[in-house]
Amino acid sequence: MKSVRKKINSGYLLTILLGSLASAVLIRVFVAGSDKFLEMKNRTPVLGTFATYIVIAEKDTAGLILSSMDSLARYLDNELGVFGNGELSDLNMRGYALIPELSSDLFNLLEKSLFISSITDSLFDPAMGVLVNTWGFPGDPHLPDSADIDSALDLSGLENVRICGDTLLLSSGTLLDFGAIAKGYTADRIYSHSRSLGARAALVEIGGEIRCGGDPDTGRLWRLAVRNPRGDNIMEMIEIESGAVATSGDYESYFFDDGIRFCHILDPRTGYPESGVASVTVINGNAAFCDALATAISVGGIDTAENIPDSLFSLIIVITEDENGEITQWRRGSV
Amino acid sequence: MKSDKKYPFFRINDLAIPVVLFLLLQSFHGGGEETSECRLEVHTAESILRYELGVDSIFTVMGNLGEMEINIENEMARISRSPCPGQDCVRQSWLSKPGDLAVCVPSGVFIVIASEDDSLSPDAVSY
Repeated sequence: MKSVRKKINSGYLLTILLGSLASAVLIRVFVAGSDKFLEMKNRTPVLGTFATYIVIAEKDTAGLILSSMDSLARYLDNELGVFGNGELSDLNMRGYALIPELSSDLFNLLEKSLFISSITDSLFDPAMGVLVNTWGFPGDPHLPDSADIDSALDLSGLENVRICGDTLLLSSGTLLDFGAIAKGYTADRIYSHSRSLGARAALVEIGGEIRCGGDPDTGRLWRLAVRNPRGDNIMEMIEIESGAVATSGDYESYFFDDGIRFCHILDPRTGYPESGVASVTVINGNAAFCDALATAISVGGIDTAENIPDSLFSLIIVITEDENGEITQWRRGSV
Repeated sequence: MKSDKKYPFFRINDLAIPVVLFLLLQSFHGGGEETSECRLEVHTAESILRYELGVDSIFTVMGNLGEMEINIENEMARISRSPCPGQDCVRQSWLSKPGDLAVCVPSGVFIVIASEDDSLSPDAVSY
């Protein structure tokens, strides 16, 4: 009888254990099965940096949406990037383009660039391709001769971009370079694209410029970190349902010459890199504007940040560093 | 009544049932101690690699410019070698707490200390 009891007890125990395990698995299957949406993530190199895409969409379409987002990024990279061989490359090579024939992307990018330039006293300038090349960013950064900088300045600036009738004209040698807005613009475009394809929520991050959002009923709150420009940690962690974040910092690409640090953010007034601003973060609903504003404020500092219209930002964070290396944080607005 | 004597309602060995159930549930939910532990996430253009911080190691990952070396030691991590021109990522100190990160923009690589609790990790980093 004793042995029978043992059998009964161990069988009972086994049943409970297997039952518990089965319940756990079933709960998982049930939870997953009751939710027809799936969150998927992808990382990929694009626009000379790398991108993160996250989508929440129906299980059978999430992967296709991610793939389509990546394709659009590569298309825009080729069309609007200075290293591509698409529309921007053609415009820079020919020196002119018929405005009615411009793609909506290049037209929108120009329009947004001109707008941000107009409200920042031209501190954001998309016509600085020659100056950027003179400094050798991003591949071969070096300190050019002052004469070369002066020559590059003559060919840089929006005064070298004119509209005659329905033709967009560049001064001879002038090059458009949307590097300070293109990542944000592309993030906006890819985000909108994913939503038009059925994504219930999405996040696009390209080289640190972020656009995210979604239907409120998904309940997805995006956790976005902002890097400390002079540390190895996160300076700020924000949670938003939708919006855009862009950061421009002197740590992204720089070199030292004779002990002096030269970063990639060039001041269109002097032709030299900005100094004194370690990073600028702008938060609002549009990544292109955030991206361009972050660059303009990096050049103009707090004075420029104070004059940005309220409608164009929720929060601006400016980190400055004085000659003694003292760091100061300046903020305007809130999330 | 006879059977009651032979098969008491409760025996000390039956305590094993709730104990095993508890262990099962802990295992299902990821375990108690492990939820507070950290890991190193290496984000490259190609993938996100995860490493235990508790195991000292040196390994390489491929960035846009070539191989980068990452070092884990005493539950801390750092980028120890990079082909980037600025070497800013290499100069950064050891990462040890959740949220600590080192970014190498030219290489397209960043490393971040992430908590086992995914809800504490950012979805994206603006830099």
